[in-house]
Amino acid sequence: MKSRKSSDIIENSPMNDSILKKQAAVDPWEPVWAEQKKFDLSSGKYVKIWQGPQHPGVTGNMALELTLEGDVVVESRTHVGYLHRGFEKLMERRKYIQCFPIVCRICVPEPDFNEYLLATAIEELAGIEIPEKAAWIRALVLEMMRVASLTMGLGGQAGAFGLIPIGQWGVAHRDYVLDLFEELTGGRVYHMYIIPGGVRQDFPDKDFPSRVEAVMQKLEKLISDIEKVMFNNSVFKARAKGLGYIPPEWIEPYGITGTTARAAGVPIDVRKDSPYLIYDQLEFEKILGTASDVYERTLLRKEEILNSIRLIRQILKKMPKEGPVRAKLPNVLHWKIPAGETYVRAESGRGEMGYYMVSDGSEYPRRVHVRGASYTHAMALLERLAVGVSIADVAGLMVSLQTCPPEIER
Amino acid sequence: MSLKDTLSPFYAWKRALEKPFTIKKPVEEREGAPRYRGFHVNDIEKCIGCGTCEEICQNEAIDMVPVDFIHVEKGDSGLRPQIDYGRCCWCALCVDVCPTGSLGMSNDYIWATPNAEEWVFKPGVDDNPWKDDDKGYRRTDEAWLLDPKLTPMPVMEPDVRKHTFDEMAYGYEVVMAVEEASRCLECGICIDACPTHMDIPAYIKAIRENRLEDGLKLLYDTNPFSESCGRVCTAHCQDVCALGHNGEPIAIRWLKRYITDNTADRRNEILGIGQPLPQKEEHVAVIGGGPAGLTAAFYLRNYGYKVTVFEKHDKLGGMLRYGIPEYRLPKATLDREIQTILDTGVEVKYNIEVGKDVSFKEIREKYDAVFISVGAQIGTQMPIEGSDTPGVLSGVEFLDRIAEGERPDLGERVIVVGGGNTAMDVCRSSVRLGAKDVYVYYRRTEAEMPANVEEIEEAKEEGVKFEFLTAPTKISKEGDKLKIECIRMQLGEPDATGRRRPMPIEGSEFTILADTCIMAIGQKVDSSLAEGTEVKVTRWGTFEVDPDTLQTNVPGVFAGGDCELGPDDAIHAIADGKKAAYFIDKYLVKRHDLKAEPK
Amino acid sequence: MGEELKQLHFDTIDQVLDFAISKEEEARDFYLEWAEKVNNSAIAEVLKEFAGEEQKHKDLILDVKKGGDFRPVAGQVFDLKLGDYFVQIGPDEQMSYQEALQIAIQREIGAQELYKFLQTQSENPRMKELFEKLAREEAKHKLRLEQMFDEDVLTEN
Repeated sequence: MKSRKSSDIIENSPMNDSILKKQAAVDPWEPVWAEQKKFDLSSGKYVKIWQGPQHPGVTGNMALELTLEGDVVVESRTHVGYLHRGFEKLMERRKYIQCFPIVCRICVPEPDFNEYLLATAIEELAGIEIPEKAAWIRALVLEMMRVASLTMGLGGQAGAFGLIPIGQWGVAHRDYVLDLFEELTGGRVYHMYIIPGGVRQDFPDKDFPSRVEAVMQKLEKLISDIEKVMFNNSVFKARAKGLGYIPPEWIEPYGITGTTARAAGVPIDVRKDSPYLIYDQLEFEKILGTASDVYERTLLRKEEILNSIRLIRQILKKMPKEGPVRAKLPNVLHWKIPAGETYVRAESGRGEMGYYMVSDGSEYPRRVHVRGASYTHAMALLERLAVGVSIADVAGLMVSLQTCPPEIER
Repeated sequence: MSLKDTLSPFYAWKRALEKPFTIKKPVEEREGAPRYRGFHVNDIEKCIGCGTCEEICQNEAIDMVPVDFIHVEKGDSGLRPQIDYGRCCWCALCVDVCPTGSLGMSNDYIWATPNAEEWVFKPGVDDNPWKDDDKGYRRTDEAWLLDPKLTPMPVMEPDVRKHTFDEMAYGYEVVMAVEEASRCLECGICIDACPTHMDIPAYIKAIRENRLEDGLKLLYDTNPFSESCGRVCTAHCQDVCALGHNGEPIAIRWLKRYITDNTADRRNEILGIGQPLPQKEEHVAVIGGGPAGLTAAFYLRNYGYKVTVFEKHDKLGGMLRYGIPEYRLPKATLDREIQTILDTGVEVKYNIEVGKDVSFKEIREKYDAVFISVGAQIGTQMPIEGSDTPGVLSGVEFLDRIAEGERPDLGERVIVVGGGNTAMDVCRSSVRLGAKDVYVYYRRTEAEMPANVEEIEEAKEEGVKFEFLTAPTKISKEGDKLKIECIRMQLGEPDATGRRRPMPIEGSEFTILADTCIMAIGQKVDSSLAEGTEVKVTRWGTFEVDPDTLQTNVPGVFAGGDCELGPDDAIHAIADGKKAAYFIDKYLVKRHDLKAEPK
Repeated sequence: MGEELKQLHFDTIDQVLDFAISKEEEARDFYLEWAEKVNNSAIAEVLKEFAGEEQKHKDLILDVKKGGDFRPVAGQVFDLKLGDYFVQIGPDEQMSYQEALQIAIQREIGAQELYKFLQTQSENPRMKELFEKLAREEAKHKLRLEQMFDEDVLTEN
């Protein structure tokens, strides 16, 4: 797929053409603060405000320090640190099985990816093979997680532009999926279900797949409503199209992954590129876009939800009905993993999420590093993209990058 | 801007006519899912206070605390979990690791209180609305994090071992021992159950971490007969093992054997035996060289006293040698272990019976302290007619002869009367001596047999036939066979003591002809050495002692083991020996002090 | 015993009761006598306990004489029939706990058989009933002693 150039932009862009051209001319490998201008704040021309850390226009606890000239942002700095809980260090002081309950708290919308990655890293280092049914259930849980997170994300995106009812619909339908999780795993938001060796328990009863199907149908209905109300909405189109354009040449230097990258036309998807679990047995395509603006990214996310629903249906159909769901672990109270290091990754709703784990042969992990998928989006990329954007649109821009502060700061 | 785009948002108004997503009163209308991880519940009867939940909790939210109305007893530490909900993350690992399945979670999820201190609570003890909920998250078999299966010990096949007195159990290999040792939860409940309080979790950990030298030192801290106990101990520890509640207990006995077998050639070196110790002047006499006596001798030597053991046989070991046959405890193994004790510098006088060859009075005068450990080596006689007919043997004497190396011919059919470990040893030895038809007659039912369950199983595998609720009433000679008249019993209703006693059934008499009949119905102490002395003897023939210090009514004279407790197992004798050594030391130190007082 | 028995003849209930009382006294004195003779002080204790029991039985019969009645026994008194198969032994200065129990059981069996025999001999229905009750009392004593034997001596059978 040939990459798009910044000159090919969709019509009706409210953005200032010159700013876009200036953006396009900048060398992406140059850090944004290298070309920093000094803004004289006492001149009366510039205003510095803080959007965040407690702000409805910020996804989580993150502070954007904006310098405004009138209504337009001329400089943006991202400050994180309000959500640093020290997971990586905590894990160094906990036995491997004790790490398992805490990693899900690294990310609120999609905790299962953390559990999955920790479990996979441990399994690779310890040489444990999980049973087949466990792999299918894990994939099902991850896809359901993605659906829940993206539904809420769609709602959040709409809310950032003032389309509040869609925000409410999104959160309400996420709750239906959380109900399913409650039945399956015993927890709504933090599941603590994917354990090294497999999953903790099998389906609660044999009607569970039919309940999943019922919720999926509800979601499909919701998506069709959202299509009518949001994507054909003149206000949304006017504000979102052309906003936050990311040139495809920026994808690699900034480490952008996930829907954000695919919206720019760069086809990267961990599920297809290096299939994990049972994704090589499922039929699906990468969902690509071209325009690489907020509208396109939102559109792609909606497509992802529909894609995930199709994947869930495939999984439920192809899954083995019987079988163990857990491999036997050695006594977890004093479990030593052989020394080694590994990097495992997965495609979360926001992008590629990775865990790098080093073990030294003792009962405690030596080092665990968590690569949050939106790590680069909120810091380097947003600072670049926010320049020249009207302050009213900053929230919408940020949500479209799917920044998730808990994941960034762990 | 197309018209469609302007009008399409109004589509959202259709929601005004639809049912809302939300529930009006979620607290009442919506219960947590059946698997929901809510607030903790605990069945405090099932809970044994092992503390595994405390160990696995990642945020140290659980503390084990004593509870007023729960008492410490064998198998229960008396503690119960207290959970701090300021720290709990509701992961339910504590539920999944519980060995008894007592800890669980209800599906209740709302707790509002003005007093935050309430959120540190003891489930099952403190009163809460969800205390008796049976819905919620419980430990299931597929989620259980522990391994209920034992690593089996490789043993000789029954058909092979029936014909030989060679040792039956082969011993664990390295991999098997480490695997079995990995099952341990380190809860420590076994330590209290062991009569001599061996530090079991510590030596199991030593096996796991391949530090066998440390393991051996831990064993000898409390038990110098670890090699023998590793083969024949009754294992009270295994009876209370936390894993034994919902699975098979850890094979602690075999793990002990693994340590001693694999360090046997370097034992003295590891334990530091042979190195010079500070010596004291006092000289202690030990009467009886069995497990109690030799253990006392070992620890007294460690204190620095001179020790002399008086043994009536020509070899040491007591019931370990003369009461337990080769296939359970080979003599070579026992000899090597006794040699380790003798290497500490214990003096032994063989073939001297105190009370006959030398009087107790002489010993009492010559030595500074005396420890009596003569054991209970006389078999109880069944007072029925014909019990002195030739061909009727006493179980204890029979085992004594086997231990000396005799292999008497018992004929084809042997009847063994009794149901304890002695009877099992006797019947299995009879099989090995070539008897084809070996019966065990026991007056009560199998459930009441005092013998080890494993012994009974192995005897059955070797072809011994068991007849329960049967007892002989008269024995006589018929030709060259014994004619044994027996009667069948049935258990009556519970009497005033609550026990159901066996009563003869009218008309159920039968007669059986046998070549040999061996009585193993009980054991007695030979306390004749105390005759004419002030040492008090109870009505059962055992020596009367102060249970805290093991001293008899005569100062400086102590007694322990079978001769003080009544016939019991080896580990109790060893515990008594160690305790006596401690109190003998205290007694001698005090006396020393008294002597040193200026006049 | 045969000769004595033939000479036993009771006319009144009181005579029967006096006879029973004398039997209990005889037993008590037997135990007290041997309590002095045995070497072992612990066994002396045991014999004194037995003597105490016999005294209690005597007091009970005295009470009956005054107008009371034997305590009703619910159902059958169990009979473990241990002593029935024992070899007869005599008392000895060196006797052990087991032998003391055996002797006591022997004596109870003897007493029980005596009353049963007298029951068959008598024609007076009230006397028959009385002998039956006395036999039942002896059976209770025998049971108590046999339970002790079962618990303390037959530990592995």
